Amino acid sequence: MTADQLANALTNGASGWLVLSIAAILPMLWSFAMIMHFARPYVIRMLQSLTLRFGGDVWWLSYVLIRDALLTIVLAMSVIMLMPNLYIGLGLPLTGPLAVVVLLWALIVKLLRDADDDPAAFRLVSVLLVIASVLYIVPQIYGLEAADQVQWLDQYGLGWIPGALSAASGDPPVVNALAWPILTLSLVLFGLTAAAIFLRFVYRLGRVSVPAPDAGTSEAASSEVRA
Amino acid sequence: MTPDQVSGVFDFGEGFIEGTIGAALVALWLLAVALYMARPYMARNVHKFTLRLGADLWWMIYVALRDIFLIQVFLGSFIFFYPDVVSGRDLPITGGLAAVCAFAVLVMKLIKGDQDLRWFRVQVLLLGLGATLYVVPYMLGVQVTAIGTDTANQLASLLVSSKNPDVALWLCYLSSALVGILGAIAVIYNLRQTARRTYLDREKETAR
Repeated sequence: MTADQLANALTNGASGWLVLSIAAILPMLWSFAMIMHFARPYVIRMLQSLTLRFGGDVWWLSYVLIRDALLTIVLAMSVIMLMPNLYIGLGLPLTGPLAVVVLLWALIVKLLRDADDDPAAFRLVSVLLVIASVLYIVPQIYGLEAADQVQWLDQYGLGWIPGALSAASGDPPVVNALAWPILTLSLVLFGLTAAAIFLRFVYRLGRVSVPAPDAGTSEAASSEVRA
Repeated sequence: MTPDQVSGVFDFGEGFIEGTIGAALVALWLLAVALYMARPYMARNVHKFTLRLGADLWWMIYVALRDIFLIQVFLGSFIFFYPDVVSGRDLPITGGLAAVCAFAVLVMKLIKGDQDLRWFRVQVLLLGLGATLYVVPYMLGVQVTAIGTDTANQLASLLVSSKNPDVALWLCYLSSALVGILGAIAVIYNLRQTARRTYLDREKETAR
C-alpha cells in the first residue's frame, strides 16, 4: 500500500468515525436539551425557595444559558444531516434532516416570541421540540444503532425496521427510496426559513424597538436595533 | 496495514469509548447516590453561614451539582438504548433498567419536587435500586469475564449483555419504551401547567 492510499484510508475512516460519533452523541444531547427545557417548573420552584434576588438571578441565568446553548449546539451539530455526502453516504437517520428543520422552527419561535412568559409560545416550542427529537432519536436508535440486529428482529418479523429508518443500509449500501425526497424537502424548507427570518430582521431593522426589562437595558436594546 | 484494516482502528476507538463510559458510570452512579444522601449534611451547613448570600450559593451549588450528576448518569446510560452496543459490548445487562430509574427520579423531581419527605424517600429508593441494577451486574458480571473459573463464567453469561444477548436486547427495547413513556408524562405535565396560566402570574401571586 502506498503512503497516499494509507492517508486516504485513514482520512476517510476518521471522517466517517467522527460523523457517526456525532450522530451517536446527538440523542444524548437531544435528551439533555429536552430535560432542561421541560425542567422549567422544577427550576422555578427552586427559584422561589432562594431568599436573595442575586441568588435567584444567578440560578435563572444559568438555567436559561445552559438550556438555550444546548439547543443551539444540537442545531449546529445536526447540520451534518443536511450534507448529502454524509447523509446518503453514511446512511444517517432517515428523518434526521426534517428534525433539523423542525428544531430551527422551534428556535425561531423562541426568537420571535417570549416563550418564557407566553404560555402559548412555550407550548408551541415544546411541541416542535418533541417532534424534532422524535424525528431524530427514533431512527437513530432503532435504525442506525440496530443495523446488526436484523437477524434477531427477523424472528419477530421486524427485520425490515433498521433498513427502513436509515438513509442507506446494507453492504453494498442501498439508498432508501425516501432519503432523497426527505433531504431535498428539508434543504428547501431550511433555506426558505433561514431566508425569511433574515429578510424579516433586515426589514424591521430600525423600525421596531425591542421592549426591555429596565431603562438601562432598554436604551441598549433600542440603540442596538437602531444601529 | 491495508485500507480494510483501517476500519479496525476506528472500531477499537468506539469500543474503547463505550467501555470507558460503562466503567465511568459506576463512579457516576455512586456519586449521584452519595450527593443525594449528603442532603442532611448540606442542610446543616446552610445554617452556619453568617450571610444569606453564602447560604443561598451553598444550597444552589449543591442542588445544581446533585441534579447535573443525575442527568449525566441518565445521559451516559443512553448507550444501553442502542441495540448494537448492548449486544456487541461487555456491559451490565440491567444498565438500561438502571437508566429508567434515574429518569424516573428526574420526572418525579419535576412533578413533585423534593420538599415532600414521602416523595423524596421514593426518589432515594429508586436511586438505590438504579445503582444496584448497575453496579452489581458490572462488578459481578463485566468485571469477572477474564477470571476464567466456572462460577465467574456462569455469572458473566448471566449478567453481561454481550454474553446474554437475547435477554439484553429485550431489556434494551423495554428500557427505551419505559423512558419514552416517562418522557411523555413529563411533556404532558409541562403542557398542562402552561395551559392554566403563566408561571409569571403564579410568581406574582406568590410574591403578593
